[in-house]
Parts: sequence; C-alpha cells; structure tokens
Amino acid sequence: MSEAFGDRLRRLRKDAGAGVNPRPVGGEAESAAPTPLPAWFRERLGRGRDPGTAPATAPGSLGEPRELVEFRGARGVGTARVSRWELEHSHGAVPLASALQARGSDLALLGVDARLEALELGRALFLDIETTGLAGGAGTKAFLVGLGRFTAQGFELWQGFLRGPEDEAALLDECARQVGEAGALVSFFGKSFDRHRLEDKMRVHGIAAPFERCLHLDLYHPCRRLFGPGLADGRLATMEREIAGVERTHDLAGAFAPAAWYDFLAGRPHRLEEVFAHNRDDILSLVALAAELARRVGEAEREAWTPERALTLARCAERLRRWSDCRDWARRARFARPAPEELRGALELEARAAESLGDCEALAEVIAMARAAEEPELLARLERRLARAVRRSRGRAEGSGS
Amino acid sequence: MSHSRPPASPTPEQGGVRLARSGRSVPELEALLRADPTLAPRFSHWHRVPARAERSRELPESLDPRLRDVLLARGQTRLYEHQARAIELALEGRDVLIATPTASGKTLCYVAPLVQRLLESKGDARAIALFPTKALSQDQSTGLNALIAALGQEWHSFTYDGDTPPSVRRTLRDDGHIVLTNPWMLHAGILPNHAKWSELFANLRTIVIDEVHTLSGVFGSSVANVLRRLLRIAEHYGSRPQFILCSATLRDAAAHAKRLTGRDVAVVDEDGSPSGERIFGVYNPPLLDPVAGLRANALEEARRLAVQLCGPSRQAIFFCQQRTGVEVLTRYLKESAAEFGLEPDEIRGYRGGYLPLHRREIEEGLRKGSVKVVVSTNALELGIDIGRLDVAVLVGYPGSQASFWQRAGRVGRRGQPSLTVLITRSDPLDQYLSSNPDYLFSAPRERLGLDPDNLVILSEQVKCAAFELPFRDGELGTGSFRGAPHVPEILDYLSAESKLLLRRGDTWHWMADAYPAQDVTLAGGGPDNVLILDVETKKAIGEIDREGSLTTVHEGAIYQVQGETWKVERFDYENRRAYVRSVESDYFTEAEVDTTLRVLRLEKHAAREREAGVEDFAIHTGEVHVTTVATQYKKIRFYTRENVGTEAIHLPPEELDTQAFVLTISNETATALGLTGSERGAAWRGAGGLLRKVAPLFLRCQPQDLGLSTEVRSTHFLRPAIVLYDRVQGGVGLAEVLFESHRDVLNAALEVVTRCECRHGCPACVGPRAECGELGKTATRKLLEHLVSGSAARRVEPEGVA
Repeated sequence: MSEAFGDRLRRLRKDAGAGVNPRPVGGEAESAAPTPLPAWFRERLGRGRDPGTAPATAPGSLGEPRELVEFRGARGVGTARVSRWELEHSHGAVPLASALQARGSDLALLGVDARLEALELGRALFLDIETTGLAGGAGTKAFLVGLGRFTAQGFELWQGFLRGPEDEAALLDECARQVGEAGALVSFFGKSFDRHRLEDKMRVHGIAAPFERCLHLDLYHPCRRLFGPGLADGRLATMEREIAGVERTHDLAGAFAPAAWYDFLAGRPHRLEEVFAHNRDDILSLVALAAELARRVGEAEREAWTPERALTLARCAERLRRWSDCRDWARRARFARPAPEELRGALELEARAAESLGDCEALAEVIAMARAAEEPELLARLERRLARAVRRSRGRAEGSGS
Repeated sequence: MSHSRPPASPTPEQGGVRLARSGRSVPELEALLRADPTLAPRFSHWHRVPARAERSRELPESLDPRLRDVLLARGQTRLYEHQARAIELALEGRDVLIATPTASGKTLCYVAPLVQRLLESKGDARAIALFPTKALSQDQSTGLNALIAALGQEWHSFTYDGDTPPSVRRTLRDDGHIVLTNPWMLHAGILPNHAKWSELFANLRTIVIDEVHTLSGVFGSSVANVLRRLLRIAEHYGSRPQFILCSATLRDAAAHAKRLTGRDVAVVDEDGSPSGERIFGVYNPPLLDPVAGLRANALEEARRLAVQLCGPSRQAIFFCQQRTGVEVLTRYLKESAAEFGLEPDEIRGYRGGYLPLHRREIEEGLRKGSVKVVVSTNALELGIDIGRLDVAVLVGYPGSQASFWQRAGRVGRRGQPSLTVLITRSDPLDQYLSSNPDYLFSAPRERLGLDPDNLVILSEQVKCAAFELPFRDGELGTGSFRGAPHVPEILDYLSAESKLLLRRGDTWHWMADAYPAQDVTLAGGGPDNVLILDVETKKAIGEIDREGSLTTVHEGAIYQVQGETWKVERFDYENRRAYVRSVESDYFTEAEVDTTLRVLRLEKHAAREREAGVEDFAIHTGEVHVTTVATQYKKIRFYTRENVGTEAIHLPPEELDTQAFVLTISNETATALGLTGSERGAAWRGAGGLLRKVAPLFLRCQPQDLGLSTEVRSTHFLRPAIVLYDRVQGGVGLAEVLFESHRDVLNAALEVVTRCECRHGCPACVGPRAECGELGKTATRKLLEHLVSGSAARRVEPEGVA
C-alpha cells in the first residue's frame, strides 16, 4: 500500500501541470495511464503555504548567522549572539545610560501599575522576539528572542536563536531562566504578544513560565496614550522616531522575518542578518523609549506639556490614586492653555485630587477658576465637593482635637 | 403576543372551531383518519408499536453519595435500566456509547460520571463535551450548572463557541471545568491553541460526544480525525480521557464508535424508558394521473392532513426535506389556521438560516405550548429541547432510517399515545418504502458511512495536527494516528512538496506562516456562506451556503422566510452578500443549472463483452472536473404552480474536482437495446436519474450528495455514458462504493421501474414523460434488465503500470 502511495507521489511530481486535458480515448486505452495523486489533492495539501518560502529576492548570506555561541541548559544546547555597548552609546537622541536614572514612581505612572514602582531599568530585561507568524497558535515559533540588560560595563544584548526547531526547548528554557532571574521586563506590545508566544510555547514544552510573577512595563500603552493621538499608527518605528529621535535605515520589514528563517532552514541564501539587526534596533529602542519617557515625566517642570498629555498623565495618577501627582498633572494641563473641554476635565480632576488630599485651599482655587471660566454646572459640582471636603476636614480636626 | 393580532380570516365560528377541535386524543385522530372515506384508502400501511413499560432500578452503588443525595432530593430515586448501566460502566472507566432513542434520558448518563470525576478529584478533573449545534450546548450548560450548584460546588461549565466574547474567553480557559463546545471550535479554536488550554488538557478525564449518529460522511470522518488530534494533545499533556458517547439507535453501534474514537467502546442500547403506544401511518398521495404516474403534491397533501391533525389542544410537527418546503408549507398552514381553530401565530416555521434569537423564541413557544404547529427542516431533528409533541408528519422520507426515527422521536408524551405519518412522495425511494414499509420498522439496516482514513480528509487533518505538535517517527506506531495508513507519506509529501513541514531527524516540524485549521473545513463545504441582508433595515435576515446561493439568492430570486417573501435585488457574489427587499409576491422562483463534466483521469475499470472482442458495457472510477452554471429561473405561482415567466441568471460558474463512477455501454449494445434515435438522450437521462435516486439504499448518503451527468455520446468515451460523481470537493469515496456495489444499485433500480404503475415514466421512477420521453421507461427497463442479467463485469487491470 505505502509503496503505491509513494509511486503516486513520484508520478505526481513528474506530472505537475500536465495530463489534465481530457482526450477522447476508446475503451481501455486510458486505464493504462498512470494514476498519480490528483491535482486538486496537491493543491489542497499546499494551501496555506507560506509565500515567503520562495527564495528571497534580495541577495542574502548562506549558512549560520555569524558570531553564534552555544549555551547549555537543562533542556539541551542552544545558540545565541551576544553584543555589547558602552553606557555612553546613544540610540537616536537618547544615551542608553539615561535609562539608569529612571525612577520607579515615574515608570509606575507611565504603566499605570503601582507594582512598577519597584522596577529598576538597570536590572530589567528588555524583551523583543521574532516569530514565524503573527496568527499565533501552537505551530508559530519564536526563532529569535532578544533580551537586553544593563551590566556593570554597559549594555548587553543576548539574542537566542533557533538553529532548528529541535532547539526550541533549550531556547525557551534559557529564556525562562533569564526572565525568572531578572523578574522584570520591558517590552513594546509584549503583554499582548511576545509574552504569550513564549508562555504558550513554554507550556507546550512543560517549562514553568516566569511571566506571572514578573514586573512588566509594556511601553506600547504609555506611548499610545501620550503620543498616539496625532500619529499615523502605534508602531514601534513611529514611536521611536517621534519620542526618541531614532531614524532607521535599511530596516527589514518584520513581515520578512519568517521567510528569512525558512530560507536559512532550507539552506537557501537568507536575510537573517537583517532580522538580527532589526531585533537589535527594536531592543535598543525599548531602552531609549523607556529612558526618555521616564525622563520627561521625572523632569516634568522643565518639559513643555500639551494639555492633552498632561491630562492623560493626571488620569493615570488618578487610576493609581496618587492624588498629589494627579493634582500636579491636572494643574500642568490647566496652565498649558487648554481648550474649554480640556479645562473642564483638568479642573474636575484637580478638584477630585484636592478633595482626596483634603486640600481645601487648592479646591477653592479650582472653584475660582471655574467661576472665571463661566462654567456654572461645573461650579455647582465643585462647590458640593468643597462642602464635603470642608465637612470631612472639620471632622478630622474635631477627631484629632478630642 | 400571539393574540394581539386578529386571525387571518376571522369567522364567527372561530371560537366554535377552536372548541370543537380541542380534546381529540391521538387514537381518536387515528380512528378519524381510518374512517375518512377520502383519506383512509391513501394510507397504504398502519403500524402500531405497543406501549412499553419502564424498566428501572435503584441508583447505582458506585454513585458518589453526594451526587446520590442531589438526585434523591430531585425526586430521582430510580434510574432507567440503560441509564444505570451506562453510569456504572462509565464509572468503571470504560468508554461507553449510549444508543437509545430521543428523550430517553441520555444526558444523565454522561452528566453523572462527569460530575463524579470532579467530586473525586476535588475539582481538578476537566471535561470537554461536543454538541453538533450551539443551541444544544447552551441547553446543556444550564442543566449542568444547576446540578453543580445543587452540589454546592464552585465549578464552572461554560459554552465555548463563536458567540463567546473574546474578553471572557481567557477566564473560561483558566477557570472552566467543563467546556461545552462543538467540533468546529475544537478544530479551529481550541486544538491549534492548546497551550492556552493546557490546564484543561493536563487534567482531561472525560470527552462527551452527543448525537454521534450525525457524525457520518465527510463531517464524521473529519471529526474522527479531530478526535485523533484531541487525544494526541491530551497525551502530550499526560492525560488519557474516557469517551462517553450518545446517539440515536444505530446499527453496528460498536463499530461506528470504534471508527470514530479508535477505541473499543461498550455499547448500551436497551432502552429502559417507558413509552406510550406509537401509531405510524404511511400515506401515499393519490395518483392524479395514472398514465403519467403523477401523484398529488406532498406539501398539498400535508396541508390536507393538517386539517385533521392540527388543533388547539395538541402540538404537531411537520418535517420537510428542504428549506423552500418549510416556507411554502408554513405559508399554506398559516393561511388555513382558522380551519384548525388556530391563530396564524401559533403556527411557525423553523430552519437553519433563521437567526438564533428567532429560533430560541420558537423553541420556547414549543416547550410552553404556545406554538401549536411547527414546520421544520432537519434543524429540529437533533436534541434541541422542545419538549414532546403529539403528532409528527414527515413530508417525504428523510433519506435514512436514523433520520426517520429521530423525527418520529419528537412525539410521544409520557404515557400518551403518539402518531407519526410519513407522506411518501413521487420519488423512487419513497415509493419503494410505501410498498415495503417493513424496511422502516425492522432493526436499522444502515451503517453510517465513516472513513477517517479518507486520503483527503486525513491529509488535511494531519496538516492541522502537525501545526499543533511536531510529528515524531515514534508516535506513528503508538499515537492516536497509528491506525491511519499513509501518515508518513503524507508527512513526507507535506515537507518535500508543499514545504509546510521540515523534517529534522525523526521529527516533522511545522514550517509555515499559516494557521491551517482556518482553511480546513469539517464538512467539505467552504466557510464562505452568503449573508442575506434586508436593504431597508440593513440587518441580516439569514444566510446560505455557497452552493445553495447559486439557486436561492441570485438576482430576482424570491427568498422566503416564515412565509414572508423577499426579492433579491442584488447579489454581491464577491463579498458573499445578497441584498433583499420585502415584497408581496404571489410566486416563488426555481433556478435551473447547467452542468458540464470533463473526465480527467480514469482509475478502476471493469467490463463485460458481448462476444469476443466486442465490449458490452463498462464501469469506471475516475477523477472529473465539474462546472456548474446557474442558467435561468422560473417564476412559479403559489398553489397553481403555474409558470409565469423565465429569466436569465448571470453568475460565475462553480468548479468542482472530484471522483466519479462511470457507466458506459458500447454503441453495439445501445443499438441492440433500441437506445438510438431521437428519444435516446431523454431515456438515457431517465436511467441515470433513477440510479442516482436509489443509490442511497446502499451508499448511506443523500441523493443530493451525488451529481449526475449523462451523455448519449460522451466526448471522452465516444459512446453513451452515465456519470455519477461525488459532490464533495475531492470526493469521499462514494464513487468507489458505487463501483463495488453497482450490481445492487442496478437491481434496485430495476425493481422500482418494474413495480411502478405509470405507463411512460413518472417522478416515482425514471421521471415524467416530458423529461424522459416516450420510450424512457421501457428503454430504462430494457437497459437495466440487460445489465443485471448474465455475468458481472470483470475487472480490467491497468496495463503498463510499473
């Protein structure tokens, strides 16, 4: 049986494209013809085939990517490339070292996650992966995992690479170890994508995934919140240009990454070198973005804020119940020539913060602003707030007085 | 709601009719029909199945005391014999199939063991339950959650289907103990993302599959492979789940279950539930024209019977074979509502293509009793809970014994007699049954066609499986695909030719930026249904599959829902959308299609000689390419069926590559049989049509699963040829079976044509004279007699194949 099947397959290959035209025959003549696998069957089996498996159009290199070193772990041997930069190195307009100045409280505000107060960029891993597809599912592999970190000497990038699918467990195990040790991640869209790709594959291989107990700052969300309005899209390339002044030249579009790896596996000329470079630039951009966002928030007074962005940060502070930050950011919005709508929002937030702080003076100032802005409804609401705050502060005073 | 509208034709007697017609019992109905001078002679057969007493016993010893207490508290102190047996077997860890009729309490047979596994494991055990429709899984979820609540547990059962919002899916994956879903979601959603469900797979103890008698043909063969994938994933995470299967009564139930699951399954099929007396009548509509063999239209006869059978004090269900039948009969019955003592709103149509909310409302109406008459397609054949009704009318034989009994199983309230009437149409199969009713009431004779190793289906599923986990050499001998032939060859092919896999050492890895389950359907059809939109409200009023769209929603078509008519204004073929406007139409439309067939390649071949060196007839299997074009449609007046106009249809052709069975006769034989001259084309077509219609007696398929092309001088064979092809892309082996059993098919066809009372052919044999010609019937009879007499065709081995 299996012999016959093999024959059919071989015949099919010979027959590709031929023999589908009907020709009149009498009686048994046709039965002498071979019976290869039907054309529809071949088409069906090939459906969903990756167009990228065709040889790359641009010239590429042959063989393994350069400078791979082996690592050995509990799940076998894998390979990685390690690259290093001096702390003084700048990516775009941002010196990498400036990331070390970032304060946890500012990162927490940006990520709207109080746990991130404990995040030190100097100890975190900067994560970005290249996969064989965006659709997800068990068949999608992360063939390049970039993990960047600060060391005593500078910045180091570890790019774990799959020489073949059989190395997957070793690579994932090493990632799990590194991520688990660092306990903190910075990524771009990684909470929605990178983390899950890795976590899913770790589960498949029975490797304990470290992500649940890991601090994770996903820069996509603060970038989008603060800079998204007015930008064409929320892609990393857009954000890094806008925020960190990074201009990439010769960047390989991410969509070509799967094809590059498949070319490599098939022994064809491949463009993996460009994928490594793309992944490297992504990770350096993570550092630059995190550093720059934290710096701007940390040096709030020296920065020029649009009312929109200041208001956004006030809302982030509100969600964290960091009332004095909320009041300060709302004030910055108020002083940044807001549109009437924005002014209403800023006043409301500032009042809410002031009430929570029991700061009746600040509340009174907001009321004066509302009156000046001729916002009767807002005014009424704020006055009720003030009355409540005054009552409460009296209560506190009496309580402490007795 | 149903009373807010005045009746369609208000009469002073309305209240009187309603009153007079209430309170008639089923035996009284039977007596009435038997006494009716017009109707009585048309019942060719009456059959009674006597009432059956309950066989039950105490709750099984092995039942967990906590579960026992909940059942007792519900007043369930005893179980039917089959329930107790099934639960005991399941608790022993056996794979079990419960094959008993509709509404015999099968649910408890899987619910009890499944919940007991949860109790024993302190909530660690997980279960997957598969239902053929969304509606069924939602029904079950409610029941399970009530039981879990009664046990005082915090476990969750939930339905996971296309309607589950993405935002809650994650919670469900992490916290769900019992996942109620369907084969499609399992195939395209759960298995390809198994890592997200690793909790479920690591602790998977039970797989429940309901209605396994629906798992036949392409769909069943695909599902059998989805189960192979499921077991493969479960094994990867270290679990070996147990199967609990439910089905209608089946022939060779154990064999079917084995083909489906790959396991030896214990079968429990002795129904211990009580049943009232069941009365069956076979009603053969009168011959209107004995010469033409024309019988009265079955839908019209259904309406005539409805006058006797429908009324305010009982519920009746009418099953039609086609959606249009449902719409036409619903309209007829609503218009006659007053005659039955009913309001039009108490009569409802029901079919796939109605929106879910609409269907739920009708189901509830049936359960509560506010809907008195429902007209349905097979959509209500499955276990959707609509309660038990009193009278079932089957407008035509549903094509299989399993379907016949499922439909008949919709009637029979506890301890009450029920009535089922089968109206036989002018169709060879129906007429065969009218004269051989024993076929219906004897033990099931059909086997379900199921071939998990069908090359097309298997290879598609292997593709999906390879995406989910790399295939290793070692698992081919031991894993869940071990029984399937050709898996290594398919894997090699997928890597060497399709470049979807990469072989490294002993392992094949998925190697493409693709999600194969998305492109692999379970039923053979494409995922590209056509949405039907109301141009005024911009809302969807239904949908239809790709193939049906050619003849149902072409521009100018009258699309019918609930007796209301809509005219198709625009059919956006590319974007799969049809735009319709509500109209008052006094006609409906029927589209005609033109089919051309090319033979691509021939495979098996057998032939008989007239004399040495002169061929008599030959049969083949082979590969064909079929092009179907919708050509024109007729406008046909309701009731009179008068043709009031014909218009052209402009749509691109549908293409099909498939396998076919071919019958050719030599030109010498054609001459000898008189199959020459002007009549022979029509006669030849009549013979082909008859073969197609009787084939399901041996093929376990519907006639519509087979396409037919007849040529008196085939361009390929240069002689008369009848081609019957599998209408599934790629074919699912029907051609092979036809080739093997062609003699049985020819014999059955001969029996039908010999027995038929018409003179020159009628719809019940070779087709009406207008279609098969003056000589159609005699020529077909001569041809069939010639083919089945004498020796059988001998296999001709292909020459020169290395």
